[in-house]
Amino acid sequence: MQVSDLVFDANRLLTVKNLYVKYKSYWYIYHVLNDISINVGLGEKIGIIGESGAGKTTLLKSILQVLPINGKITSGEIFYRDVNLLKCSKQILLEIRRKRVGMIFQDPLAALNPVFTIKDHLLEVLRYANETANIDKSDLINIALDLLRDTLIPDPERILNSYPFQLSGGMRQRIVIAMALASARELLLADEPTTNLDVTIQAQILKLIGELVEKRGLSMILISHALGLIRKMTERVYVMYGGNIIEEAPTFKLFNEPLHPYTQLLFKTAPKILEPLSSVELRGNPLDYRNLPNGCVFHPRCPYGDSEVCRKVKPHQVKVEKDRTVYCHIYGS
Amino acid sequence: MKNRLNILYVLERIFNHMLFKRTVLSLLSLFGLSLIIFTLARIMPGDPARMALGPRAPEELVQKYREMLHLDKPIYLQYYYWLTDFFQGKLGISLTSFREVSVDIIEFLPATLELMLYVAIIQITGTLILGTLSGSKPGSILDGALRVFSYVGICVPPFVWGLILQFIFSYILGFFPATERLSPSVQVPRITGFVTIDAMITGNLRGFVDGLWHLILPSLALALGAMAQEARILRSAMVENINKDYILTLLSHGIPNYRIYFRYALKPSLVSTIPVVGLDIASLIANAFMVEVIFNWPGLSKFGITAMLRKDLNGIVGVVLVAGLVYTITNVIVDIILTLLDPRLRYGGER
Amino acid sequence: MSHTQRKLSFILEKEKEMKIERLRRAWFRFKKSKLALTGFLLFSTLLVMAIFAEFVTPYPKHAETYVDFKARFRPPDLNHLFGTDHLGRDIFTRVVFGFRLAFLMIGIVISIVLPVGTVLGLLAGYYKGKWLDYSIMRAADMFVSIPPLVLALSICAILEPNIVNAMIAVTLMWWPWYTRMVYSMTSALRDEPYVWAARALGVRDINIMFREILPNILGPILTKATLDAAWVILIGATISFLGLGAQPPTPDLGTMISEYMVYFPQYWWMIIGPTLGIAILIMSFNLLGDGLRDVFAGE
Repeated sequence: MQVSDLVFDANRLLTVKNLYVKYKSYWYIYHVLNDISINVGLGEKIGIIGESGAGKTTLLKSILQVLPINGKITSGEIFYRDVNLLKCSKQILLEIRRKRVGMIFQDPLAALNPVFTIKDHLLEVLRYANETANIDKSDLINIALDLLRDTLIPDPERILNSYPFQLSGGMRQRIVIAMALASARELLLADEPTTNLDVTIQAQILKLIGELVEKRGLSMILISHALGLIRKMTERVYVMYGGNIIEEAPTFKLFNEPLHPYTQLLFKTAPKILEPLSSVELRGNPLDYRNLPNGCVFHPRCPYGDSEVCRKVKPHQVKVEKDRTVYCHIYGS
Repeated sequence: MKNRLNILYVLERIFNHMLFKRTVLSLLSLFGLSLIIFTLARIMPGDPARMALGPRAPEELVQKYREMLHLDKPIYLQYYYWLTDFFQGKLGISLTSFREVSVDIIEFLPATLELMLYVAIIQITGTLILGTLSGSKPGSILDGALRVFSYVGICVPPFVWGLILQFIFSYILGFFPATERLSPSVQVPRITGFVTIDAMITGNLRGFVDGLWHLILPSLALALGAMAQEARILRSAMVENINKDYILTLLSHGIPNYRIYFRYALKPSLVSTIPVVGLDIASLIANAFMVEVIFNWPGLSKFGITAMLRKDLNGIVGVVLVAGLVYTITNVIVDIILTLLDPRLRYGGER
Repeated sequence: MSHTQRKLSFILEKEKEMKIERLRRAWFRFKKSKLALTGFLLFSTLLVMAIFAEFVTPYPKHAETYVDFKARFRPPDLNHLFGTDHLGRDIFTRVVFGFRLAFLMIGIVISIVLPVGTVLGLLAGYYKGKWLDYSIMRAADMFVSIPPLVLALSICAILEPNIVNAMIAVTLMWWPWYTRMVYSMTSALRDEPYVWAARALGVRDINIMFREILPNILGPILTKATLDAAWVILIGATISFLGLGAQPPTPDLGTMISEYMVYFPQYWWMIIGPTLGIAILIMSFNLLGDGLRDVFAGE
């Protein structure tokens, strides 16, 4: 085991610095992440909010480097403890994926291979997550059953031999969670774990995730459209827009007094806590990632964004308080 | 409420099964096909008997032929007679060989089937190897080569491949024989009609090698073009699957690449590739015609083309039906394989 | 106009805008796509050559019946790009005339199959589950369950072997594949909101099919038509090659190969011309079709 268990700084379990990610299609280049920096402390629960297509999923995928083939990390650093994930050996990256960090993908319908059973999935994951422990297949099956029980799946033996399409969406999401938990011994990346599920099940699943994270003492990055949940389950929040972080604050402060105009609009237009964010109505056109606006990415749609400086200068980090930053010219100088 | 042991329930499951439906439909289609060909052959302007026997044939012979095919009766009666004969295993007398058509077919079909078998082996292994290798590394040299090769494969018909291969490997280099199934000096007793299998059964190593040697060029000629395209399809299915969330999920769990590519991406990709490969293999029964002519292969085409050129009605109907039957059976086999691979088909679709 | 009606017309309006927008984007992508452009250039060059065959070929008289025994079996040189054949005819000239025949065949076959196959597919798809669907699709299934080449060959054989009958055979063999594609796309689109809106507004079925659904599936249809044209050339050449299509001295590419094969391998260069001709013809359609697919497939 080469990844050090010592943490040099308890506030920096995971640090992303100045990350840039591009998607190339046959026709265009999309600049999806632009200069993203975040950090997650040991045992900390982080939320990321922003409308659909703000680059949240890409951010999580680039942490584990599981971007689709046309996605490329062009520059930046990702530190996990003391390891730079972008420069470390393949073996260390695999070890971190297998034994330390787990990720729950957005769509439970798409996250399970349709031609393999749940057992195939779980055993494959467990086999590599417990590689050095030298356990045989029946032990693995027992671990799998335990995981399924942990995620409150009824009749786990039957489920184990089912194919994904034979199960309901909520059930599939629980299995995806179980798989993620098999690898997540330190950090759980949860990418909108409740989209595509109906409302009652959404609440159940999120409660389940919250409990399991608490019980296992994991750190977590949670992406969700459900603002109420972010408020309940996280300690600190990043707001993303157009592949940029535009605001960062402790959860309660952000919800009490959002600073960035975008965040303010977000909260204003989504007063009901479970309303999805994508319904935000703003002036101007939706963002075009092929050529992002100069200056502040938000200025074409910002209610105060008509000034010269907003159009020309990219806003710097403004520390409003000791633990709050915002990227907006209103708060500069 | 459904009792799993209830025989009615079991029957219902079978009848509702996709495979059963497909098979029944195919058989019905074959029946319809016989009707189409039969009718087409008889409603053409002109006297089919006269056309078949040529303008110089004596009138009594033409009359005799007419009676033999019941051409003097109304068409539905003709079909009825033909059908009753058919169910007794009689397809009528061929004008080409003056024998029962089924006898001819039994003589000539195995050579074509053997060719098909080897083409299928080449196509499947080639597709699997080239497709997965270039699919797991899109943009690599192999991938580029496959792209060019598949384009060439589409543009060059099998008979041209045949001519090229024959020219290079038998006339210039002399590696392989140019025509026929066996060298004149080699004898293999006929048991199944498959030269290589018969030679193996009788322990005739020389016959086996000689048969195989004769098979290589024609099988390659038929396989190359289609194989390149199939590999390309498998490749793009792989590339598409590799970007799917279920593969990225496994990747995020640190599953090594080789397992991801050769197991978790390959299996769902095969589900979309196999129908194409299957259709190509099934079409071989007809496509073999082109290559058999070049290599003077004593297969179905030898009988079929002659029958067609001589307007031998019984022969034509027989060849079309047999080709249809082989095509149908191959397709059913492909369906079975597909059902084994894809649980969604096995358990009757999305719930 | 009631509120609901306004809403329904709004959906239809929106869909119309989308249609125009999609076309605009497709055109933009076509202009940017090297593949489509190359295919288009190759295709139009060949087409122009075929149309003006009399003027671009060195010996237009050599196309059909012409004999010059002194000049027979000449290997390729500058006067005879692909050499001369067993009757002393210039093979290059014959190949260019072969292009004309191939284009004629494609033109005729497509102009029959495209409308017939599309209309049948639209009808069956739109009236999914009705008797019309069943009768059309079962007939299509029946044709599809026969190996296409065998069907074409036997039709050619039963009729007289010549180029017109070869076209009939290819047409008969080909329509069901078309119909099946249009069918699956139509039956997928018939539950789209704009189709429902049109139906609720009392637009006639015929108009829904041709004005609402058809424009949305035109891209894939054209793509398939282009790619299938390559296939038509192949099948046509095969039929002629096996002696059941065009008969000598018609300058058909397949017929030429089977004619010249007799002198193989001694005068092997004779088959280079027609072979290259078939390959380049098929290639042009494939490039164009692949380009079109990229164009219509979206971003």
